[in-house]
Amino acid sequence: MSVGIVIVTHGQAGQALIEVAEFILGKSLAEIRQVPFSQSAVHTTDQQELRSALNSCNQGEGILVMTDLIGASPANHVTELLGEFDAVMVSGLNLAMLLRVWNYRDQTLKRLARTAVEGGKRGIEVISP
Amino acid sequence: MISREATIVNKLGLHARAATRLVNCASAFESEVWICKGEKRVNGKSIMGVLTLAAGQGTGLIIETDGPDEKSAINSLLGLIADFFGEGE
Repeated sequence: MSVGIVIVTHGQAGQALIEVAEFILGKSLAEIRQVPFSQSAVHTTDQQELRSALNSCNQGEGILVMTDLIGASPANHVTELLGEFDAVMVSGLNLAMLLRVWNYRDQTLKRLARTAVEGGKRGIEVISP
Repeated sequence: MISREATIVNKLGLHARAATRLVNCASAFESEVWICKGEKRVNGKSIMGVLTLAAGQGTGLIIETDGPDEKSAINSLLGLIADFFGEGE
């Protein structure tokens, strides 16, 4: 039993990140659910798919939802559903965050959410010659 | 400086495209623009600043403008918010 992990992004951004992470790690991340939101408008089906994704990955240890952009529709819709589940949302998803979360997915929900934030931040640096 | 209250009325709230429209509107003016939600005060010309407010439908905001064209700026911003950011709902 471990924390359920769901990625919610604009378009196929989440799927692309998962595919790159699978290539890097050399293993399947099929346990991570991914929900794409249409970029032109939010449809009821998006919300239904989101609720169904959260339900399906709920193993009783809580759910970590990673979204791409704070304040944007995908994140806002996740926020609306958080109360229905034992779930925490972390915004600002990037590849570094995803890899970190995958490596520490046995942590508790609270700890894993902090790990996600640390991992995402750690991947951002200014490099100059 | 002018300060006015505004309520987000559009269905999707101040999401990414609405925030972009608000920032574009604010940036067309020379005046400084600040958006406040509770204790939080962000630059109205910064998309990430505006997005971090995570202001959904029904959220009350305070819009501040400060500068030579502050009156036109606040009127345009209040108009944009009242017009559902052009989204029709």
